Amino acid sequence: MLAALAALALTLSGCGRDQGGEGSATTPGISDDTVKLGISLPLSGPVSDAGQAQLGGAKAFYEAINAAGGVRMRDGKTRKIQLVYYDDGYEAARSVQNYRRLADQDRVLAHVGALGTAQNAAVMPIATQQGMPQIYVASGARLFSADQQKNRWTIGWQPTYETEGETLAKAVVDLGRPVKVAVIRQNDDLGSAFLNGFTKGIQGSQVTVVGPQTYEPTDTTVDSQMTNLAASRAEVLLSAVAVIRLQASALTKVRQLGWKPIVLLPAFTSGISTVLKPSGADAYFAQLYTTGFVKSPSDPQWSSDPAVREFLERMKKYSPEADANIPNAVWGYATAATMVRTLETMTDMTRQGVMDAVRKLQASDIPMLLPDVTVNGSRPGSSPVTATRLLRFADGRWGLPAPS
Amino acid sequence: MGGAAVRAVQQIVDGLATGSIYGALALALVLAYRATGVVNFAQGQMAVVSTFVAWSLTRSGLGVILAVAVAIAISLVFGAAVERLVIRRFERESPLIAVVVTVGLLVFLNGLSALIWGFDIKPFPPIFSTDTVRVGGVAVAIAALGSIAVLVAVVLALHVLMMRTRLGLALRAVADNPDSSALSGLPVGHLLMVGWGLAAGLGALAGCLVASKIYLDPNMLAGVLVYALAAAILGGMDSPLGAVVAAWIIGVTENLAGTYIGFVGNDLRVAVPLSLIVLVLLLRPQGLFGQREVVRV
Amino acid sequence: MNPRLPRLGALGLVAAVIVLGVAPLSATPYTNLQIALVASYGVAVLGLNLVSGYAGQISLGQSAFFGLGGYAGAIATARGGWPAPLSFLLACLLPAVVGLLIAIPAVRLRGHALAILTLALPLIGVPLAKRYAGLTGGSEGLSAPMAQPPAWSGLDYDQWAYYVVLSVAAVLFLLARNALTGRLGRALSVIRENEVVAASMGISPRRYKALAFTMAAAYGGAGGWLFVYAIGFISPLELDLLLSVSLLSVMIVGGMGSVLGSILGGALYVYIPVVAGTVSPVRTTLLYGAILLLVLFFAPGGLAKAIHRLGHWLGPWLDRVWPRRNGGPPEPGTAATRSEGSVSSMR
Repeated sequence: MLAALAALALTLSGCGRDQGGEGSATTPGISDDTVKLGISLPLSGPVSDAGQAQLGGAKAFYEAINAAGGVRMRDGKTRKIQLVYYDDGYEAARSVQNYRRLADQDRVLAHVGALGTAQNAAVMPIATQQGMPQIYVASGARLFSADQQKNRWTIGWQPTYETEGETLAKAVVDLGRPVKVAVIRQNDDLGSAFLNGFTKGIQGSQVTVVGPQTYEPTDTTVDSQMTNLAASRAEVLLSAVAVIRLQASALTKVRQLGWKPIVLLPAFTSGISTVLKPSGADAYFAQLYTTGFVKSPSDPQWSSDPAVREFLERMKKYSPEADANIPNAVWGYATAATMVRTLETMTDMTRQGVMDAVRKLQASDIPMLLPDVTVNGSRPGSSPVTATRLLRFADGRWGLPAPS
Repeated sequence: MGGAAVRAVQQIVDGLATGSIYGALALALVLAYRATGVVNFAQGQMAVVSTFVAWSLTRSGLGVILAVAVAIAISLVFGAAVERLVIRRFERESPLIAVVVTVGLLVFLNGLSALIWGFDIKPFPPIFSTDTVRVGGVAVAIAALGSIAVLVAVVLALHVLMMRTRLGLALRAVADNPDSSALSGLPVGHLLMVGWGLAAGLGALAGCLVASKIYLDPNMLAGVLVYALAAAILGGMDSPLGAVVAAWIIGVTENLAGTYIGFVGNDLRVAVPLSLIVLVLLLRPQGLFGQREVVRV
Repeated sequence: MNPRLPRLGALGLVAAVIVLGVAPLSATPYTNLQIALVASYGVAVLGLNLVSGYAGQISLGQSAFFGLGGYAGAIATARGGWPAPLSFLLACLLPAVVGLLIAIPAVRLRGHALAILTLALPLIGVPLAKRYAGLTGGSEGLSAPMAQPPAWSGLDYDQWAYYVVLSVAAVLFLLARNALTGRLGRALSVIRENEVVAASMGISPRRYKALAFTMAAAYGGAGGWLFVYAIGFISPLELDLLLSVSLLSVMIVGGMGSVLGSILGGALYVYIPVVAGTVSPVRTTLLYGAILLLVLFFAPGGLAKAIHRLGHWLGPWLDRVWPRRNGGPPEPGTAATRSEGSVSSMR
C-alpha cells in the first residue's frame, strides 16, 4: 500500500534540487530570447472574478509587448515574455505550493502581480528563504512593503488600505464641523486597515465614528448592518465594503430605507457600471466620494483617452473572457507594465538583478495610472505606488472634487 | 412608532426577506430529498445554471417573466436527467456516497457556469417592482413581499400536489417504500425523475427570485446553500412548509442576535440559529415538522 | 489467494520505505512539500475515516479540528517557543477534548441532525479564529516556521520537515491500523450496520461512537499540526467548511473505511488541483468536478477497493506469467485460497 506512495515519490523526485540556493550555473527565468514570469492567482473559488480579471489584464499587456517584438533589455537582447500561471483557489496552502513550483520546477525569474493578502503573506517567508522575487503583490496590505530588510524579496505595488482610508477622511474633515460617520467594514485586516487609515485622517477634527458594523465577504446580504447604521441618522456613511455585489446591495438598501448620507466608497467598489448604476446610487445620493489611482475604463471621462482605448482593445484581443471593468483587470495591466519597465532597466540578468531594478525604478508614464500618479520603488517601507486621489461623483463621472 | 421599535421591526422584516432566500432553496432541497433520500449539495448550483439560462434568454430579448418560465421548464427536464443519469446509481448504495456525488456535481457545474457565462457578476432584471413601501417608518421592498408571496403560493401548491393528487400520492409512495411501489405497478424510475425535476424547477424559481437582489455569478448561491440546508434540516427534511418556516426563523434570529446581543456581533451571527437548531434537534430529532423515523431491526 | 502476493507486498513496502527515505535528498523543495502535505491531509482523512468510514457517522467538522491542531502548533511553538513534541501533544489533546464534548450530544443524533451539529464547528470556528486576532493573527494568518533542522543533520528546512512529518504520520497510521484490525474495528463495523443489533450484542453504541469522535478529532488535530510543520503558515481558511467537505469527498473517493484509502485521499486532495491546473489553470474547478465524478462512477467503492480488486486479479495473472515450482495455481476451495496475510487485512 505504501508502494502507491513510493511510486508517486519516485516519479516526482529525481534530480531537481538546486544545491546552494541561487548560485546555480544557469540563470533561472532568462534565456537568450525569453523571460519567464510566474503568478499564482485565485482563478476559481470565491474571488475568481477578481483573479481572472487580474490575469486577463496582465496577459493583455504582456501579449501586446510580445506582438510588438518583445521587451528590449539592457544587455542588448530583445526577449519575449512567457507567463506561467497557476490557480490557487484563494487557498494559502496552494499559493505556497504554486510559488515553490514556479521557483523549483518552472524556474521563473520572478513571481509578479499575485492576488490575496493571506495567500501572499504565507509565501513571503518562503520568498525570503528561496530567494525568488515576489513582487508587485496586488494587495493593499502594508506588510508586503513595510520591512524591506527582513523581506528583501517581497514588495507590494498599490497604495495601502490605510492610505485609502486616510484620503477619504479628507472629504469629511473639509466640512469643518462636527459630523457623525457611520461605518461598515469587512471583518478582516483589509477592513481594519481601512478604518485605521480613516481614523488617522480624522484625528484632531470634530468628526466622530459611529458603528462600526462588520460583514463577512461570504454574507448573502448586509441589510441588517445597513439598517443598524441608518438608525444612527449619521450625516456620512463610510461604506468600506470590498465585495462588489454586497456594495451594490448595501447602497440599494440605504436608498430603500430613505436615508441620504454623504457616501464614501473604497476605490474597488466604486465602479459606475458595476455598483453605482445597478444600485441606483448614481441618481439617488447627492454626494459620493471615492479614491482612485487608476483610470476606470467605464468612466466616460476617459472614453477618448488613448491609454484607456488601448487597454480596452488589448483586453478584447488577448483576454476576451476577463471582465475589463473589474479594477483587478486594470491593476493586472498596470503591474505588468511596471514589470516590463523593471525588465527594461535591469542591468544584472538574475533574480537579484530584478530586485535591484525594482528598488531603483522611477516611472511616471505607466499606462492606466491617473495623471500625476507615479511609481517609485526607492522609498523604504513604502509600496511603489502611494499617491491616491480623492474623487467626487458628478455628471455621471468620477472627477477631482472642486475646492470648497 | 418610536425609533428603537422601528429598528427592531425593520430587522424582523429584513430577516423574513433574507429568510425567504434561504427558504426558496430549502424547498428544492426538501423536494429532492423526499423523492430519493439524497441530500443534493448541488441544488444551489443547478439553480444558478438555470438562472444563467434565464439571464441569457432575457439578453436575447425575452421579457423576464417569460424567460423565467422557460428556464423553469428547461430545469424540469434538467433535474430529471440528473437524477436518471448521475444519481440513480448511488441512491441505494450509501447516502454518504450519493452526497459526495452531488458535491462532485456541484464543483463541476460551478466550473461549467464559469466556462459558459464567465466570472463577472451580472445584474438580473427584476421580476417585481423595485419600489419600496413605508409602513409606519419601516421600509418594505415590494420585491421582498413578492418573493414571500410566491414562496407561500409554492408551499400551498406543493401541499395540494402531494396530498390531493394521484401524482402526489404516487410520489409519496415511492419515497416511502420504493419496493412495494414497484410491486404495485408504479413506474418508480419515472417518479424519481419527476421528483428531482420538480426540485430543479423550484431551484430555478428560487435563483431567479433572488438574482436581482444579490446579483448573478457562478458563486451566487454558495453561501446560501448552508443556510438552506440548515433550514431544511430544522424543518424536518421531509416538510416543505417546515423548511420555509425554519428559514424565516433563521433569518430573523440571525438579524436580531447580530443586532442586540453584543457578544455575537456581526461575525458570529450564524452561531445563534445554528445553536437553536442543535438544541431543537436534541429535543426533537425529526425537526420541527418532520415525521418520526423508526428504525426496524 | 496467491501466497506470493503478501511476500510481494512486503517487498514493495520495504522498497517504498527506502525510496521515501532517500527521495527528499535529491528532490526539489516543491516535491518534498507536496509529499509532506499528502501525509498531513492523509492523517486528517484517516481521522475522518474513523468516525465516518468505520463508524458511519457523518462529520462535517473535521476541518475545525485540523485548524485547532494547526493553531495549537503555530501558537505554542512558533510564537510561544514550546518544544515541538509538546505542542504536538497539545495539538492532539485540545481537539480531542473538544471532540469529546461534541460527542456528548452527537451520539444522540443521527443523519442530518448530526450533520448540522458537526457543520456548526467550522462555521463558528472560523469567525472565532478571526476575532481573537491577537492570538491567532486574524484573517491575515500566522506565519509559523516550526521546523528547525538541527545543525548535525545538514538538512534544509523542507527536508527536515519532510522527515518529521512522514515519520509522525507513519506512526499514527500504524496505531490506527492496529486499533482498527482489533476489537475497535469490529465493534464499529457492527455499529455502522445496525446500532440496535450492536447494543443487543453488548457493544455500547454511544460509548464507541464517542470514542470514534474523540479519536477522529485527535487525528484531525495531529494532521493540522503536521500541516503547519510542513508549510509554516496557518489562517482561518484552513478551518473552513470547504475543507471539511473536501476531506469527506476525498475520503470516499480514496476509499471509505480503509487505511490505504486515507493515504490516497490525502494524495487526491493535494494532487487533483495540480493535475487540473496542468491541463488548464483557468478551468481547475471544472476539471476537479469531472475527476471526482469520473472516479465515483468507475470506482464507487473508492480507489482503495479498486486496487484490492486489482490484487485479486493480479494473483492468477502472476501464476500464469511466472509459474510456481510446486506445480500450477491452486484449485479454488483449497487452503491456499483462504484470505489471509498482510495484504488483504491491511484495509
